[in-house]
Amino acid sequence: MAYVMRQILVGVPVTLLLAVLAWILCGLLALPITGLVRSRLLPLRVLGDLITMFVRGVPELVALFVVFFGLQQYVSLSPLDAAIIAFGIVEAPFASEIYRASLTTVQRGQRDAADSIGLNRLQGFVHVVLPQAVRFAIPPMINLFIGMLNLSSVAAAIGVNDVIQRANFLMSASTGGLRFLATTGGICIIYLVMVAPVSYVSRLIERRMRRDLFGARAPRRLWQRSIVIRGSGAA
Amino acid sequence: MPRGAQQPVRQRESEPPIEGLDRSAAAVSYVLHIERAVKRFGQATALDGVDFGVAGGERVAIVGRSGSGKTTLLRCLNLLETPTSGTLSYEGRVVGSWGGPSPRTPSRRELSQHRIHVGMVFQRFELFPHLTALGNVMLGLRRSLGYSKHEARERAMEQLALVGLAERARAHPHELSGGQQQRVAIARSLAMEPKVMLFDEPTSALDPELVDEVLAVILKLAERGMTMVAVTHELAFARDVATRMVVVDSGEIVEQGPPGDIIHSPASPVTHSLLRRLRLT
Amino acid sequence: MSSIITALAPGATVTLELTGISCALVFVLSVALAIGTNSRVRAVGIACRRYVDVFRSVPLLAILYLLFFGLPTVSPALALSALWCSVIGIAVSEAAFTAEIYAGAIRSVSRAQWDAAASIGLSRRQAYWRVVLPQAAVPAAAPTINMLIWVIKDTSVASLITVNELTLRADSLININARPLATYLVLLGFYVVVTVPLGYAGRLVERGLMARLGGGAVLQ
Repeated sequence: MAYVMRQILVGVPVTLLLAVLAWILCGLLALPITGLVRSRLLPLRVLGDLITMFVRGVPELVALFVVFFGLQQYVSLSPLDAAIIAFGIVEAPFASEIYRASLTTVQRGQRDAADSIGLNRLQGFVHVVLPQAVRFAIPPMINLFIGMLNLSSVAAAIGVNDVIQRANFLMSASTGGLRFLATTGGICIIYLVMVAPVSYVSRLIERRMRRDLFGARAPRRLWQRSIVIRGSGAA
Repeated sequence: MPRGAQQPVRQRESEPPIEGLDRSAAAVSYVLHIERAVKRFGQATALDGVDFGVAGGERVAIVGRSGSGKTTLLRCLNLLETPTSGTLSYEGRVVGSWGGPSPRTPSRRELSQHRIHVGMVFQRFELFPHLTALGNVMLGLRRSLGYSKHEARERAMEQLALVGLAERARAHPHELSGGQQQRVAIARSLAMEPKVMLFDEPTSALDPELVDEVLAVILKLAERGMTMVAVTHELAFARDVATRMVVVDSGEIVEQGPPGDIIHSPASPVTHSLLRRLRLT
Repeated sequence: MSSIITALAPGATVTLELTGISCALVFVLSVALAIGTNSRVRAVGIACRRYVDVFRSVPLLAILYLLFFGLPTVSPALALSALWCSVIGIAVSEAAFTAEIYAGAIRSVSRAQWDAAASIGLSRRQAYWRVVLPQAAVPAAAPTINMLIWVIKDTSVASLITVNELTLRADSLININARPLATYLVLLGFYVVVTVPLGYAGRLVERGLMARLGGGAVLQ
């Protein structure tokens, strides 16, 4: 069993790397989407909405295949790169939802307040709304990261050498029996161990922020929403 | 009942009931009686050793400022709140006893039965929004009392007619005015044929012009001899309908007696300032 | 391209089967978990919360691997078909997410409704069934459609444990026709044609129910 665990652990850095980079990418891709969706021009809003709806409907595994095999003809991508791109794209609408919700949460009274002390629209946004929105967005974005960790498990399908791929090697190199059980049980445990501290930290942050902002009605709703926005358990 | 003299006898939780002493009211048989009621929420004490009873046919108005414990007292009477300690009896039989040497918690069935006997009408009506007015009244008839659909419907329509809303039976709560909703709520409780009706500020959430229709229904019930206990801000109700007025403050009964007497010449300074504030609103 | 479509089409049946059974299971399991989370029996509440914690942390694929590869080694009697492994795996995994939403929906029904139900003598079970759950259904409706979308997406992962649904069929087809991009794009089309309308439907439901039932509890 210890042998199995050690073998599986080899895949952990790759899993983590994949999750982090994809998460960052999705966070960045979400920015233009949010911009579109909140635009004052109707056609842009419709476009943003369509993109969101479309991408949310794409199974992550399929996106992975499309990116890897599709782009292969033009650019040679390592499986890891393809995975980062695919997952970044697929989760972007959810990140965008988070951004949108945090902005709405703040805007309510704050824009007026910023106006009333003479800040123009841009200043109001940058100095008043944005800092608060960022704080609201952190817990659900951490949740999204957990989703990304789970999502990364599918990357083995195109050969990324992550935890699942290590499990594949282990099982193909053995003749079944207890080795299979140990391997499959092992990967579950590894994921539990990876996610648990992140969850814990997230809850701590949530609790602290709720205390800081005690009395504001809005935060609660945002955090409930974070439950809806999540990377899928697998794909 | 002599005004002012009825100071609750304060007893420590661990002492056994004092036979005969505080029972100047023993001659009167209480339909509903709570003794030595203490209710604590964490550190805060909402009720501090209250003795309260209602006799058949009585109409009691409980008044007090917010936070005085009056609503807690009411909710203990139908056990929506469980006393931290004390004893609750219905028609002479102990329903439940908490704290003290021999606590007795009512079973789920007994709780359900008790609430059938002691009905409650809420400040915010609390009709079930997914059911029609008729459905609201029928629910208890069918599920708690076990009537068939046909019987339940008949009885429910009777109750709705009683409160003057028979023709709105098929309406959903959001289609009804506040006054109408509250009347349906009364019908819903009445359908259970309770011996005692509890009202928790029944008109507080209503626009002024809707208050009268609800008070009219309550008056009607009074004329039929319904025993009732109402937490209220409406001095008019206390003066015109109630047979006894109870003033609560800081979890204790401060004074009680005929409403006319108390309103006219309150004995306690608490009552005095309370009345002044109620008259101003 | 039409040849790709006809080649993949039979897989749609399997995908639909998977989706249908899994959804039903997810629904039942989540409602049970949601009620369990609010149980007054401490052990039950804790167990349900632990379940949700665990199954939100472990990816679906890991669960599928455990069921498909791991279980049979414990006992041959436990060797389930790939299909059943997928159904159970998806159900067990998705339920953890949906349960939280349903629990929130239940909690959004005001406390006073419980009081009102108690005041006409209803037992806790009757109160759940007749008063609370019907009201919780309103905020739970739109997320349920979202759950359906998630389940459809999850079925594609089942291809990795040999379930012959759409995605696996696409993989096999590529071995024959050597047109990966085209095939995968068609595959994409199959999914999107279902999930996107569902997404819009979910939004309609959310807005529609909010409008119709006015002051009903709204879960954000």
